[in-house]
This record gives sequence, C-alpha cells and structure tokens, in this order.
Amino acid sequence: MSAALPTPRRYTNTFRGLMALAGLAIALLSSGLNITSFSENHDTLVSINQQPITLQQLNFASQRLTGAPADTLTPEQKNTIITLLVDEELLLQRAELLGISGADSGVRKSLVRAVIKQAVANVLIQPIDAEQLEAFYRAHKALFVQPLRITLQAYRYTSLKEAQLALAAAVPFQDRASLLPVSPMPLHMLRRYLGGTLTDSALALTAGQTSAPMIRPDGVYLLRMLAVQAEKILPLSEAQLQVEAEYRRRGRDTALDTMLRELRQQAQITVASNNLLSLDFE
Amino acid sequence: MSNSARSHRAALKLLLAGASVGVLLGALSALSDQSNEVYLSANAVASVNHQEIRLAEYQRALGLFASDKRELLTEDDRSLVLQRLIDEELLIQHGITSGLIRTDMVVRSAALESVLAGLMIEIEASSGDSAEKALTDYLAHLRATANIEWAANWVAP
Repeated sequence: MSAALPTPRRYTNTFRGLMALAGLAIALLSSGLNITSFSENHDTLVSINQQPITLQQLNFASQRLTGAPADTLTPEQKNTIITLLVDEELLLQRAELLGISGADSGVRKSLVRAVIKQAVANVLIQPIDAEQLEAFYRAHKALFVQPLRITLQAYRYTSLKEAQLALAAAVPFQDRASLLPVSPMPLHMLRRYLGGTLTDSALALTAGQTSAPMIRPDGVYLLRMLAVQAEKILPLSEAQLQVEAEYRRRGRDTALDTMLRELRQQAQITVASNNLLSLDFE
Repeated sequence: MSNSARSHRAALKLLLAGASVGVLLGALSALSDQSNEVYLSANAVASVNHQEIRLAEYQRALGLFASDKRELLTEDDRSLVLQRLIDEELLIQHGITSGLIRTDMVVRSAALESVLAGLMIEIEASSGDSAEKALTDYLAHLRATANIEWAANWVAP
C-alpha cells in the first residue's frame, strides 16, 4: 500500500486535475456541440438524428394542413402528420448534407428574404409615437417638399406667320389643342414633353403671360402660362404618411446595415484581388 | 545534483519546448490567415467564411447592374457589386445557421422542392419504378438509416 502523498503535492495534483477538467469543459463548449435530449425539451415528440420535432411543430402543421389544432385530431391523423414531418426532416437533412441551402438559387433567394424580414421585423412593427415622428420631420424637412408645379399650355405652328397671327387674334388658340395635359406638372415632366429650351423659356413666364413665338426645328411654339405653384415644404399634417414611410424605411436600412456590419465583423472575408485585376472589363 | 533538481529542470525544459511549439503554431496560424487569398481558386473573386463567390456569379451580377445603368460601369460600381455579393453570402450563411431552413415556411418549401426535384431527376435517370414508389422506397431507406428516437409518451406510427 502506498504512502499518502504530502499535502503540497496533493494540492498540485488536485489543481492539475481541475485545470484539465476546465480545459475539457472549454473545448466542449467551444466545439458548439449541441446535444438535444428529451430532458431538455419536454415538447419533443421525436428526434431525428438529434433534430427534434416538437409539439409546437405538430400544432403548426396541423393548423396548416387541417385548419385545426393537433389536440382535436384522432391519433391516426396525428400520426399521419408526424410521419409527414419526419419525412420532411429527413429530406431537409439530406438537403443540408448536399449543401442545397447554399447552392440552389431559389433557396438562396428565399433565405436572403427571410433573414432581411427577420432583421427588420422589429422596426416595422414598432409603433411610432407622435414626438418621434415630429422630431424626424423637423430634422428632415427638406425631404418632404412639394416641387414647383406648372400649369402651361403649348401650341405648335408650322410657320412664324401662323404663330404671329394666333398671338394677335382677339381669342387666340381657338383652332388647336394644347400639346400639354391641363393638370399642373413638375419640372421634370415638363422637360420630358417640351425639352430643355422651351421649358427654360416657360419658366420666365408669369401666370397669364404668353410667350413670343419661338422657332424650334419641328415648328414654331407659343407658350401660355396658366399657373405657377411654387415649391413648398409640406406641413406634417399633409405629409404624415410620407414621413412615417420614410421613418420606417430608414429604420429598416439601419437595422439591416447593423446586422451586416456585425456579420462582417464575425466573418472571414477574403477578396481575390489578383483574380479581379486579371478581369477584362472592356 | 539531486534527483529532485534534475526532474525540476527536465519539467522546465518540457514547458519551454511546449511554449515554443505554441508560439510557432500561433505564428504559422497568423501567417496563414494573412495569406488566405492563396487558397482561393482562379475562378473565385472572394471567399466568405471559406465559401467562394465565383467569377461567373460576379460577372452575371455585373451584367445585371450594367443593364440598369446607361453609362459604362466604374471601379466603384464593380466594388459595390462585389460587396453586395459578399453581403448576400453573409445573409445566406446567417439564415442557414439560424435554422431558417426549418423555421421559415418559404425557405423550408424551397429547400424541400429543390431536394425533391433533384431526387426526381435521379429516379428518372436510374430506375424503371414509378416516381412515387421510388420516392417511398427512398424515404424508407432514409428512415432506416436515421437515428429516430420517439418520446416515451408517444406511440410511434
């Protein structure tokens, strides 16, 4: 029988043993090993290669397939659904094994949509209180501007003489329709209809004024300004929906940016600069 | 020199050797991290957690971007497209690790459709059986080879 170890030696051995255990514990924890057992989850009905199918999943599938919760079904019906869930789980595991989730374009798209939806869900459901909205509106007033709008008539003639006669008539522009719609138009639309030169000339007119004949390659034009609505910042009461939409849009973008920044920080990303440099973009 | 002093020196030497190996491994690991690009294949433009983004995928994305833009693509445009592909890969990997393949019904359906479509192609190519019978047999095979444990309070079908 061996003699008892001296006390300091015993302490050293105990310490080493504890350190070894701590090392094992750290290795086990850092391995990410997830041991699912029935004791962890009392709702688990069946486990397939450690992947549980829970009562909650059964209820969800039951609602989806029959429109009723699982506890209203007969044992046979429940078993049919469970069998379906087991088969689905086996196929999903097969998909994982084959790397389909990352490779199939349809699955990739749906994954991206689902992750974004999850990341921004909180932003979209949170109610916006009036103070927050007003503060946002005050800080971003320039976004809620109703642009300059012009109500203009434009007439085209084949010759300068014809245009001059129309301008001199007691009741001008009786013989033809305006080239422009009667509703007020923002500047960019006006440019689309008339081009840059005529639009610039129109901007020099005041309400009720008619331009001198203007010779253009496709004819001679007369412009008549009916009304000018100056650019104005919409009050919050008028722009409420726009402000809310912009507030949520920015919140959504911020949530997504934050998530992507976090994912980038945790990821190992390598750009193949050499391969990129060899590409011919001409 | 006493036995105790000799064993103490041997222990110190071992400790020193262990520490040196640790430092060497750490340095090698750090160096290999810096030269990761070496391991990217010639037809990859980037890798995200060792998942490569293929050159063809990048060129397809550039083509789509160019079709929306009237002018020629700039260096910034190309960089933006690459960063968006990296973002996409990060989101996909996050979705996979979050288990969305099981919890999100749209993703789940897409994954199941994809695996079933692949199976159908295999079945059509390899066997004379009807697709339904072949699928039933395949599922039976998967069930037989899987570790399926039923809860004690559940009567397995």
